[in-house]
Amino acid sequence: MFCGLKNIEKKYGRLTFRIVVFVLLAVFVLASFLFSLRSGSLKLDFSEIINALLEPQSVNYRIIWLIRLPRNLAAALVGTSLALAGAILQGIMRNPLASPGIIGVSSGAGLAAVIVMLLAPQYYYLLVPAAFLGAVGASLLIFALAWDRGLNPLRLILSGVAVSSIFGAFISALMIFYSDRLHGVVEFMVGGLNARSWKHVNILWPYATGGIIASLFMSRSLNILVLGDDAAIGLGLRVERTRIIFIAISSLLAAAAVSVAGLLGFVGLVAPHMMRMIIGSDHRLLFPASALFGAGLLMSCDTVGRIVMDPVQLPVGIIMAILGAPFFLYLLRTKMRNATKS
Amino acid sequence: MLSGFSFAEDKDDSGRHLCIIKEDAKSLIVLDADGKKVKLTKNPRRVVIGFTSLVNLWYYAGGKAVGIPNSRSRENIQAEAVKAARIGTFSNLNMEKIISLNPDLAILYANVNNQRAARDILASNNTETILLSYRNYSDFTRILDLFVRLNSENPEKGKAASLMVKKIDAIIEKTGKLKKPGFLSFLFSGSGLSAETNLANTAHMAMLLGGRNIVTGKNVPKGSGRVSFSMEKVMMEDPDIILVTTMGNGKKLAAKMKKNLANDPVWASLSAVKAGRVYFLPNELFLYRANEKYAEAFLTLAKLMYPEEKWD
Amino acid sequence: MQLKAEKIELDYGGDPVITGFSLNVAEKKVVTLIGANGSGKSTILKAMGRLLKPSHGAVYLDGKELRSYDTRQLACKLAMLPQMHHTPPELTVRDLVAYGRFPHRKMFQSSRLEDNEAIDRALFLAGTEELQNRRVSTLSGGERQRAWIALNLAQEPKVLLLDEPTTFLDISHQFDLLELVREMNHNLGITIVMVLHDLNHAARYSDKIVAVKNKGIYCCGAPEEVITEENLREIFNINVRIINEDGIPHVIPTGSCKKPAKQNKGT
Repeated sequence: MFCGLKNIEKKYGRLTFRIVVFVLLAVFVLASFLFSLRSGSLKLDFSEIINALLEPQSVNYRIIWLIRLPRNLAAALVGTSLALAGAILQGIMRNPLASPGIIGVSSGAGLAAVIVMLLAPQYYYLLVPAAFLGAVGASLLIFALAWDRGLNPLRLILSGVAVSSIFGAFISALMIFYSDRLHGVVEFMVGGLNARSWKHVNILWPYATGGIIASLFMSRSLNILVLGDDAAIGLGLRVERTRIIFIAISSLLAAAAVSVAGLLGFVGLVAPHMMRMIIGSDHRLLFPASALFGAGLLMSCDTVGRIVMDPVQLPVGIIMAILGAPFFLYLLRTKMRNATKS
Repeated sequence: MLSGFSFAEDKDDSGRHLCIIKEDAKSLIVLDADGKKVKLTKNPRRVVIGFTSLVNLWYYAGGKAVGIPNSRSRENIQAEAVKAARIGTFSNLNMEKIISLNPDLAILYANVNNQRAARDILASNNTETILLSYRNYSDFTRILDLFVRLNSENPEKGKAASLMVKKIDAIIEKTGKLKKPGFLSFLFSGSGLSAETNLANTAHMAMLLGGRNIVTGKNVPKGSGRVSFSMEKVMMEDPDIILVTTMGNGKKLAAKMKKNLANDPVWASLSAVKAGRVYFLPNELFLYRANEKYAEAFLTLAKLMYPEEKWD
Repeated sequence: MQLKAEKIELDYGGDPVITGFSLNVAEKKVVTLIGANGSGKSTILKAMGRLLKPSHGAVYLDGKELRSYDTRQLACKLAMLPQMHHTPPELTVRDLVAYGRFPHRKMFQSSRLEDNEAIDRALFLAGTEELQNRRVSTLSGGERQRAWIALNLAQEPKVLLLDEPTTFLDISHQFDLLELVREMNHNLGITIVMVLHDLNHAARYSDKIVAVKNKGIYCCGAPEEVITEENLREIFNINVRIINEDGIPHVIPTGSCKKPAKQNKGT
């Protein structure tokens, strides 16, 4: 399939290739959405779904409206946010291994969530805001530690590693002291969308929308930044300001996503990477491609997790790793093979 | 240090959990495990339950359920309950399945954090929910009381249950005049040993029977049922008896543990080991909540703790 | 459009690398900085390109301090080819050169006619017209440098700074590049300031050479004034023979300036 795409590029030119890719991505997102709407403990075909939506009192309506629809929207928004955050960070750090975890978002959200879940479970309704604050707080801490007349990418990565280690240690300690309360915690650490409702969708969509608009607006600046700090300054870019704005955008995107879905790891690292291998690193294209791909990926994987062992559910983080990793490796090998050929 | 941070429960965990605030013929208002006021309609027709031990307790109190969790453990389910539909594992409830069963009451388990997330969705579905913490016998008596009141159309079961509770009270009273043994209760699972505080099932029973748990002290986190406990402290306290519950295949693990104890010089130095007072307790009475078999559990434990006494 | 450094002091957070440095770069001239490694010549160039902030003194372009310019406006007048730059692999030459229009564009504007014309012109001037649809990763080192110069040309600057532009190129590409720089200076009137390692290149392609030593200017002037045996011995610690060929001094190094006693001891 990948070779097929490359042939299209050679034969029909770059513009056609890009259009094809985006059409395929849009189809992927739509198909994932429809697939997830149909599937679950209750299997419905499309006429039944439409009928169900017309009967507000029926069980089918309630299942679709209260559970399936919000869960899928949440999946799409989380996938978009994490993929976009990852694309931004990989550009800023000039490092393909960058992901939202690097800026401390995951460990901050994790620590805050674990504190609520283990020490104050009756404040469960505060879980999402606490995780969000933890995520943003950890990011700010890392930036403050890494600041030295500017935000150097290497210092950011190293500070992130250090802070994540400390937070991780606290998380482990709490999990040891309260080992009989661990069941919900593990779900959060792996990342899952069980029992997510409209409440969660309402938290996500402002950040996702804002993040998408802001990053598209500034995508050209990131293209320039990737050329190197010196070259970027020479072209008139305000490098520090641009970096700070982008890091802030990705922090907020990742914090919102992680506070709702837990510590989902795969999307932020691999989704933008896969899109970069297909469509290149022009961020005017990479950002929307990552956003679309992340949404479709998360919706599909969550649906698979829901149906493969019905009524037992597997968290989406596990499904993504099992299905996504081999596909990623396949892409990597094809790319490497093509690269060494030319 | 971290133990000071738990602001959930009181020292003896009686708290205000399940205080009944108001009751009339049709409904009642009660405080749930998070201290929230919850209104429950009596005699619900379609009940889903999020934890297997609560399933058995519900049936014991005269109730019936349409949805129960998939159980991976070897915990026995009430024969009647086996026919009910399955709603996913207790750590990952399947919301769609629950809603499709159209329940009027959902009984959720507070010790699994994400069962709380189900409350919002169920509220939009007009299903009443109650969040219960069920860790030990004290929880049992309070939950049983609640369940009996909720099943007011089925009072015979309630009467039978209260007879059992009276039996247990008698056993406990008898130990009042006896010499109190010090004990250590721990859970042996694949990941090792964890010692029980008085909040955990077995240790709680032993405490009620007059035993003195060596797992205490200001550094034991409040609200935690099991902790990793220092072996030095065990040797210093030198409990009179050691109670062991094993997770997983009980008999095989028990045999393995016995062998370990026999060969380990540290364990061999303990008085309880020397006196042969290390007891491996059966899973269905001690690892899982005994529910209708609590009287049997208490009797078993009392015989082990006070072997000189006559028990019937 | 005069570029002027006035008594600037530069450091990287510790002791000053350059102190009290002043330089007037006359319009439409080619000025080359030479000096030993670590003498601070690249540092000076970075300060003149606004990459480094002087701890004392200031750099002025057209009478106005560099720091007071809007960054994009400045980039329309002053361009720089840095020593380190990174090109995303799947970029074509034309894509890269198009980035040179960034300072001229507003936020959301797509390519205008004048942008495309500027890009075409830049590609032509830099001799990269046939390469424009090739990926930069497939070019040789010399072609890639020319692509970057095309990017600078697309900025349509009045002043261009080049930091060791020939360092990683083979000899034919080195001369290609320097010829191109000379053409830009003669035909387009762009003021050039560059840092070069090779003294013969400096001698052949500069109007003025500035030698940097001891945190400041050692000497400056026309090539034949600066490239002398005593100067080079002082600046670089080398012994040379100077041959004058078509008015341009040529340097033939004969060895380093070690004391004769050491050499006699042998190994």
